Amino acid sequence: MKKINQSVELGQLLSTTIASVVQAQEQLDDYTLRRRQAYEAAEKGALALPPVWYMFNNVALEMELTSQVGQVKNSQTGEDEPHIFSKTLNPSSVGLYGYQASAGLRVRVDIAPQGFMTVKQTTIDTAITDTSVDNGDVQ
Amino acid sequence: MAETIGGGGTEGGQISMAPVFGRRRSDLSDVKGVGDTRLIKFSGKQGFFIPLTDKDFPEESEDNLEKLLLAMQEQVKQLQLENLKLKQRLEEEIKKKHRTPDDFATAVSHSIDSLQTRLNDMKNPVSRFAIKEFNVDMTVFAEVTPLGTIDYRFIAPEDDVDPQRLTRINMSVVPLPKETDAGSYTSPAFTPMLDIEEIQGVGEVYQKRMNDGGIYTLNDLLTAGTRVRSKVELSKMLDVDHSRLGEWLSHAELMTIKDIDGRSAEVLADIGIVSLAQLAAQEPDVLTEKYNQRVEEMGHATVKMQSTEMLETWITSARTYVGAKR
Repeated sequence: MKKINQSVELGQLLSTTIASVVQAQEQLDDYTLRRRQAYEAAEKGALALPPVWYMFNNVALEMELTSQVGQVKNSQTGEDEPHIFSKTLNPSSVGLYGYQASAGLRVRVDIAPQGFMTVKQTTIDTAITDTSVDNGDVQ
Repeated sequence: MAETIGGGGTEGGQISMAPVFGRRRSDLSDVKGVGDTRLIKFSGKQGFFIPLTDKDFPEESEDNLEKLLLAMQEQVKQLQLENLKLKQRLEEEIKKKHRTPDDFATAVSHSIDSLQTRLNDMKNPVSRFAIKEFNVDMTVFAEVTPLGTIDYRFIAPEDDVDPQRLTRINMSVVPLPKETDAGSYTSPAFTPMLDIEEIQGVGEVYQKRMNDGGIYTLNDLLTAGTRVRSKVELSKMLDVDHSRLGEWLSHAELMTIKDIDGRSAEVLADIGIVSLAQLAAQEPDVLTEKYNQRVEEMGHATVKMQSTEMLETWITSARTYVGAKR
């Protein structure tokens, strides 16, 4: 990873945090799939809880950082390209210059589910007639 | 073994010579100590304390103090001079760090791109995430150039800047579907961030004038040159006539395509192709013939003939940019 004075490219810095949300969603998905299998495996007439699928509907990440723009060589074009390099606030810098002067950049990223796995429909006829197809609309 | 102390201070109401001056002690070679020299410990170091003042030697003390004062004044003068030089260097470095809004937008787009790429790479087999909104709110040092662009610089906490020139920029980026690449300098086919010095005829003098106006790259020049008012300002600022500026703008536009360098842009302009739209309208075979004929006429060793394949690539890139059918 490209670093400038221990700073990390902003996108990469944010993605490490967001990765944990995706990981948490993966665990929720796993759990729901297991519950669904158990529900389907239950015999007719037996008591069974239908699965509930939880999703992170909207995740907002807010960070206050010290940033600078640095040049990085593009491996494809060989050109220098500007990138934002950020680091978290340094306590001694906050102590010396104050919080406001140290946090030059506030960034907020909202991520939301773009879609989820659905059952692939083979033909148009199947899609229209087969109402039992799971279209993924589980809430 | 005891040494002469290089720190600062007094001892028992007496002023010592060594502590104040450290490495500039030679400036006080004619100062003579008064009273008794003692062995002391100062700032964790052992050394000799040589008194410069003593109430029993008023004349010598006064003489020493005068010399001490003069030496201190000299030292302050030297430090001020050093400080001035350092400030000048800092100013130069800060000027180098100025960025154009174009630079900034590119930097933000790289961050979003990098984040979205990483999100796409995350191998969750069931759910998929995407950026819904990306908001940056920053405090920057900003200056409006005569060309109507804004030069900005991120502020480091220790920077000594005029608070009145600090500006807050708040930017929200939301995804919108884009069906084609028209109007975008997509990588790696385009190189809009090339330095303006690559343009034929832009030497050191014009480069410096452009840099002073916040123009560093081809894209900066194109952005400034496409607005009528700033084109007039630009012409005035660079002290060039409109036709020459127009030539540079045409070359800059053509050079946004990868592998079209200053010389190639010159050749294209000579055969009447001065924009990406005109380049997009060409047929590769016809263009190759015209291009290479012009290169032959020029007879420059640095201007090379081009293959049909290469010119076809340029035409394809130009068509992508203008949104023409291939």
